[in-house]
Parts: sequence; structure tokens; C-alpha cells
Amino acid sequence: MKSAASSRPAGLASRPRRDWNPVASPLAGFLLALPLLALLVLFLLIPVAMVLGQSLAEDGLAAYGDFFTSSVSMGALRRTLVSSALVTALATGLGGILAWRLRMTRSSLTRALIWIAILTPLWMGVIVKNYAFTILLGSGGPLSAICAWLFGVDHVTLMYSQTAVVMGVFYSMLPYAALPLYVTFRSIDLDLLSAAENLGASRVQALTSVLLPLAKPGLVATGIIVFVISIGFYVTPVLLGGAKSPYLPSLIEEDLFKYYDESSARIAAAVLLILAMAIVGLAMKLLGARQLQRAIT
Amino acid sequence: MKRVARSTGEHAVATATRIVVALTVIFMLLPPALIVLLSFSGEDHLAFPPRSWGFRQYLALANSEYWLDAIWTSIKIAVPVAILSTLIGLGAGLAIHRSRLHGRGALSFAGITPLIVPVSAYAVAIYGLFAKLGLIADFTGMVIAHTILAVPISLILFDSAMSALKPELELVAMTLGASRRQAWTSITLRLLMPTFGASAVFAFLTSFDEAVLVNFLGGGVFVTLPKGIFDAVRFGVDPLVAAIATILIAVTAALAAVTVAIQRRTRA
Repeated sequence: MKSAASSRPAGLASRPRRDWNPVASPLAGFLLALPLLALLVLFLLIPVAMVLGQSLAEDGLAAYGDFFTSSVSMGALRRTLVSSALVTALATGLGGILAWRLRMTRSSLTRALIWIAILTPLWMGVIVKNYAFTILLGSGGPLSAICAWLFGVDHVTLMYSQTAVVMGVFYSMLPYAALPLYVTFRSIDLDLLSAAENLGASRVQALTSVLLPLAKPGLVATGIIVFVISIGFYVTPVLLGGAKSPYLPSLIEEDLFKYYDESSARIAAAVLLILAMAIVGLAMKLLGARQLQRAIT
Repeated sequence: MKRVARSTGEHAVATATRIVVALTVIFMLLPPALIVLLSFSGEDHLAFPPRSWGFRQYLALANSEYWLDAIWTSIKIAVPVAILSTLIGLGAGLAIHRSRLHGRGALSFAGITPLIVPVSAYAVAIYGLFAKLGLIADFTGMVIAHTILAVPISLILFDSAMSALKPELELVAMTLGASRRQAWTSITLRLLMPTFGASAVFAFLTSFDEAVLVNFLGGGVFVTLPKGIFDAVRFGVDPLVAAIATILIAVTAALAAVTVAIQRRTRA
């Protein structure tokens, strides 16, 4: 975003009497932004602060002690983090390859196919994607039909496994990785690569020693965003992960609606929030807000 | 010799990349293809491959009060969300690009934070607040919660559209005698018309597709379409859902494509 102030012709700001300026006063700006500010403060900042505050208010850190010593919640936390890390690696890796092909290919068919592949998850609702995976991976679905036909094994299913959850979350997250990476790659001057090759580097060397360093901030920012969004996924772990090996979000839902244990749900939610804030905070420190914002939008 | 060895190595890498790209593309296209295929299943339970074909699922859908009610509930929530989100995004966009408000960069970052807050943790947070305010199982509550999720998209759209709009255009209008408000309404807002459309469509779709907050805040009263599908998938796979899903994919893809096309044409 270019600030309006910088693109305004110089000298205009110094004419106070007749306002010849399309740029409004700070007060007008504040009033225009007020609905957004009110929404963010009332319904995002306050409730999140309430969860964090209340999670400490009841028994202080003791409640967190219970969370970190319980094998159920720690298992859920571990599953959530491991799956999200896998999803991040897969999505940035494969998303990066897709984005790079998209940048380099001269075939319009390849380009169209890659665009469709990247955009398809965005055109399907969250719930529709997960419905598709329950059929795809379930017994009686295509996977099990293929296994029965090839190997003669009946009722093969990947449902209710970590593999299913990773596949489902990866499917949803691919566009969030591929789109910003495509923007990153597009900003890289291809002449640099041919220069490296002219100077004797192989294609692979040129990619690893020229492209990767240039793309690194974009890759890191994208990976962080993918990871942070992945740890919050609710629908996919609940539908594809099953009840036996819960993820943190499914644990939260169970605490709240099955055991009516609001304080446990709050602790688990607070752990997720603190984790997300720590990661985003660290990323902002390392990369700057601008780079991170680019990876989200 | 060396040169040959290197180029076969590179050839292998290039082929491997091609295969990875092809497999990824196939994997990404498999789920929608499967759903569309199964929506024409003639069976009353889910089977693959179906033994008979037909429009049975679509007919069942057209006669199902439960699903038609769910669609209607989703629309009733998504329309106000689209309007609110667009107006809020427009206001913030104007504040960021056409005012001297301090912290404009921070505002545009703060506005998109709802996108990166883990949604299941946020659901607990907003559940706690709404329980105190009596907004659980409440229409206003649902609209507010969905607006929070939709606003970042509207803001992103207005933010990027307005960063491409030159303030000089307004300056010209003002030099020719327009007041600032006239310049804003007759120049800026008119040029932003495609963005209004895009913002409304994408905010509508965000709400229409929302399946997490409705679980926490709906109190079982609001069965939106995603909530209905969520329950159906949880308690067994009904092939009728494939028909709904196919219609949803078609409508979403068409809306998104039209929006993108309009934006591209007005930009060109």
C-alpha cells in the first residue's frame, strides 16, 4: 500500500485556508475507520483478552500446569503442531514448485491447468472440501475401490488418521502458499538466472544459489502464515481426524459442548492464541509487517 | 563428458518437476471431480462407483424442506454480512488512502488480523463474550461474527483498489470546482464500483461458507447450509450432499469468475 501522503503533490499541504486537498483530516479519517476499529476492539480484541485473562484468573498458572501435564491435551497439541508442520512443508514445497512452473512455462495449457488447480480449493467451500475427502478416503470410496480392484483388499480407509487430516488441510492451504509465492517469483528478474547460467552455473545451481536467496523472505513469510492458519483448523480435524486422536480444536469443542467445561476450553484456546501470537510476533520481528502482510493478501 | 552428465542430471530434475506438478494438479482436481460425478448417482446411499445414474439427488434436494431452509438461513445471514463488510471496508480504505490519520499502516495490518487468528480459539473467545451479551443463537450475533471474518477480505480489496487510484484525479475535480465530498462521490466511489461488487460477493461467500463459528454460536438454532452439511457428514455420508456441493461449486466458481472478469476489464 502506498500512503496517500507520499503521492500527494508537494506544497499542497502548506495551503491551510481553502482546502485544495482530496486528502481528509485525521479526524475525518478516524471517523471513517471507526466502524472497523469498533468491530476489531469489541469483537476481536476484547474477547481474546477475556480468554487470556480468564484463563489466568481462576487458578493462575496452575490451570496451564494441568494442560501441560495431561496426556490428552499434550497429545492433541503435539498432533496439531506436527500435522501443521507437515502441511506447511508440503504446501510451501509443492506450492512453490507450482508457482515456479506457472512463472516459467510458455504453454498456455499448463498455465491454465495450474491456475485451476491453485484456485479450485478457493471455489469450494470449507465444508464441501472436507465432504469430498470423507468420500475419497472412506471405505466404499474410490480409494478403497481401487485397493479392492488392485490388491483384493476390502474396506481400505484412510479416514480418521493423521494422514487424512494432513491431506485435507494441505488441500485447503495450497492456494495460500502458491499465490503469494507466485507474486514473490514474479518480482524476481529472470535475467539474473540466465546470467548465472552464462557464468557457468547449472540450472539447478542457478536456482539454489540465485533464486532461493532472493525468494527466501517470501518463502519464510508464506510458511509462517500457512502454519499459523493450519493450527486453527477446526472442520478438517473434527471430520477427518475422528474422536480417538483429537486435535486441539476438536478438544476445545468437546470441552465446551460435551463436558461443559468452559475453563478447559479456554486454556486450550489460550494456548493456541499464545502460540499464534508468538509465531506472528517473531515473524514480524524477523521479516517486518510489510512482508508478512504481503504473504496474507 | 562432463557436459553430457550434467545435462542428463538436469533433464532428470526437469522431468521430476513435471511429474510433481502433474500429480499435484491431479490431486487438486480429484475432490471436485468426484463430487460432481457422485451427484449424478442414482443410489440412495453412497457407493463408488454408483450402479445407476440420474438426477435422483437433485430431485430429492428440491423436495427437501430441511435443505431449502438451510440455504435460506445462510442467505439471510450472508446478505447483511456482505453489506456491512463492504461499508466497513470502504470506510477503512478511505481512511487509509485519503486521510492524514496516524497509524494508517497499522490499521491496514490490524484489519486483516482476523484472517490469521486461529479460528477455533477465536470461536471460544467470541462464545465467551456472546454468552455474556445474550448473543448466542441470535441473528445479530451470527451476523457480527461472520462480519469479523469477512471484513479482512473487503479491506484487502478496497486497500489494493485505492492504492491504484490517483488522488490527482480528485484534485482535478476540485480544481474544476467540486467540493471534496463531490470529488469523492463522483470520482473515487464511481471508480470503485467494481470493488464494491467484488467485496460484496466475496464477503457473501465467506459468510455463506462459514462452518466453525456457526457451530459454536448458533446454539443449534441456526442450521446454515455448511452447518447442515457438517452434521450430515458427521453422522454418515448422504449422497444428497453431493448435489448441494456441486451446485455450490458451480455458483461459487461462476460468481468468482464474473467478479474477476469485471475487475480485469475495468482495470484494462
